[in-house]
Amino acid sequence: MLLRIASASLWNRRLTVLLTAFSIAVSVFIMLGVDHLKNELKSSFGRTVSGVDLIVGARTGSTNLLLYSVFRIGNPSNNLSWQTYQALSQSKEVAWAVPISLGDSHKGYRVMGTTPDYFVHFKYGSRQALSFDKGAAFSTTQQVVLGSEVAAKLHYHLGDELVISHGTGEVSFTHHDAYPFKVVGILAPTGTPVDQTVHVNLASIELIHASGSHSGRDHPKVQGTSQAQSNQEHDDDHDHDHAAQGVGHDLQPGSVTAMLVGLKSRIGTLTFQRKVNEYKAEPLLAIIPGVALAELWQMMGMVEKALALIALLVLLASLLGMTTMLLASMREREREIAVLRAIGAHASFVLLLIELEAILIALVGAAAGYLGLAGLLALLKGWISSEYGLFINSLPLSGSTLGYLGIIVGLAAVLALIPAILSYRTALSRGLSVRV
Amino acid sequence: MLHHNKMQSEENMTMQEIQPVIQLDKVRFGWEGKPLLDIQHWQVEKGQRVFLYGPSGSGKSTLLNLLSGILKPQQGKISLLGQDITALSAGKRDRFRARHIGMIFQQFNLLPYLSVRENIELAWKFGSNGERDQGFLAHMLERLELHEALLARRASNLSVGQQQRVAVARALLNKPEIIIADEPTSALDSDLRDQFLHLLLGCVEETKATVVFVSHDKTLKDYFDIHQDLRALSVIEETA
Repeated sequence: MLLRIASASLWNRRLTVLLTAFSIAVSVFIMLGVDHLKNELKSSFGRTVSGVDLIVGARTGSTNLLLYSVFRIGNPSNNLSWQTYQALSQSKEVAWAVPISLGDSHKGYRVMGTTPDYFVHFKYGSRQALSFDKGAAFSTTQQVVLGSEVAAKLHYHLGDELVISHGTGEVSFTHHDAYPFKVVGILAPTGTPVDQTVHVNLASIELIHASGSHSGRDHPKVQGTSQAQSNQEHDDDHDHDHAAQGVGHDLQPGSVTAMLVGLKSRIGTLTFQRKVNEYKAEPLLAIIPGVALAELWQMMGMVEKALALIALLVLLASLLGMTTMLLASMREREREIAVLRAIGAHASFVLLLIELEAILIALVGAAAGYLGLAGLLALLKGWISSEYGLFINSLPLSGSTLGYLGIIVGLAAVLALIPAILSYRTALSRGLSVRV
Repeated sequence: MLHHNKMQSEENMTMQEIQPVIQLDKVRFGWEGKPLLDIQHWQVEKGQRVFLYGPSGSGKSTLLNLLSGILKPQQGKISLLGQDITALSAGKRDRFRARHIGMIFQQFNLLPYLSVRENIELAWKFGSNGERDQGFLAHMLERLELHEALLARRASNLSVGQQQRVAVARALLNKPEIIIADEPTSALDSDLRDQFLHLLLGCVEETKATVVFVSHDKTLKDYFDIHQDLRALSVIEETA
């Protein structure tokens, strides 16, 4: 009966009640959304690299090294010499080492020079290896392997040709036109920056910079004026093609951006890290990806906290709105209270009635907010992963989500005590006379 | 059949035969130190129909709140059906009211958003021990000309006259010993008023309830056995 009265009373005031529930739904939407996105980002963040024991680069900040080597964000301040790379990769502790070289791009996507070993050793998620959706790894210097997003966005298929631009801007005026690449492999989606990467042979990076013009790297404009030279170079391509296949591995770069290292025994990780950091010939930095990721996430923790705080404030505002709505309706409800009292309802019945109404509003709002978010995520999941390369899982109805919803309903009940207790006291003292 | 055992114990049952239904002794009540009611003694016998009149401000509402147990006098004793309700806790007074008193107001007797039937059955929720005398309800509905089609409608869709008849049906549903009516006809025009009074008193006759009818309209007094001027009952010394 109490429930029937509460719901009928709410339905009687449905416009204000639904607006109030809607404002709670919006705040629940924001709160759960922020929380869910944070969790998803954190897990996708942690998924970006695994199976790599150390990342070695020129001495810089550990976050910086992680950002450019794994996330392809920012630019390396310095490179690592090829001699050092070779020396380190032949250390007795090292099981494998893969060099990476960054600095070029293709239509806004970063180009990474590496060796075919990269596709064997680099792991993501819970030690999942990269797999080819189509084709296979490059074997010559004129072949390219595309991340899934690059292929999808730019509509590349196996066998297509593409040209790499100098620098990393989306718009580059310097294209290595003389050196087209053929798509030989497209990777399966990973939800990591690998999807946005164009992979070429490490030797190719050297070749394209060597072929266009020797000074192309430092004086990009020169290339445009040396069109003739370029064409001439282009004529050489056929010879080059044969040469490249044989020569590719012999073509040694002067330096690489960083190296990914797998150790024979993970127990020696810290020892080897110190050894690299104290390397005499060149100032180096070795980072453990998991540790650096955690540090980076901590930096983002501030943003996360700020977002959570905003979500909480929005929730409080909407719950206060609900309290105000209930308070404002108390005046017109004095008659209802008098009727209930006359029939023999105790004043606490009135208190419970108002509490129940608040809880019902909060429940409806919380459920609508949850379903709205879950529905929107289900709808936009495909779009988000294709547009932003972010894999967002469906909203789980997990313990923590239910906990949030419980807290919201609980808060609503606490705030509703204000109008509830006020009307309880009115019910006790005012009596049956109603101010008309 | 209509006057079967509604008392909590046999002991009360016998006391009821001897004691007056309503008895007030040295009852004083005031708001914030200002005396409003001061009744030395007043009693109403079983089955009496009392017409209590007095101008506004004479403390009518306060007296009704005291009789129904919503308010408690600062001094004195109020006994209903032999039970001293001033000795009861607030919760027990509410329970007592639900079971033994039916109240009818001037207007706004109903919860506007519930159906007519729900409004009437609300009295069962608070005032019955789980037994629901459907036969009696049907009889009352017929008696008060509340037809089946009306019962499903929202209370707010009824005319004032219909609402007042619904209020009577609800007040009588638990067959209370005492009916308290506070100006129930003042919102009705004169034709409806006489019709309503006939219905009310006719129904009350069936349940043999005692009636306290409060009004400022002296033209209604002929319907009642006993006429009581509140100003004569409650003597307040103006020197206060």
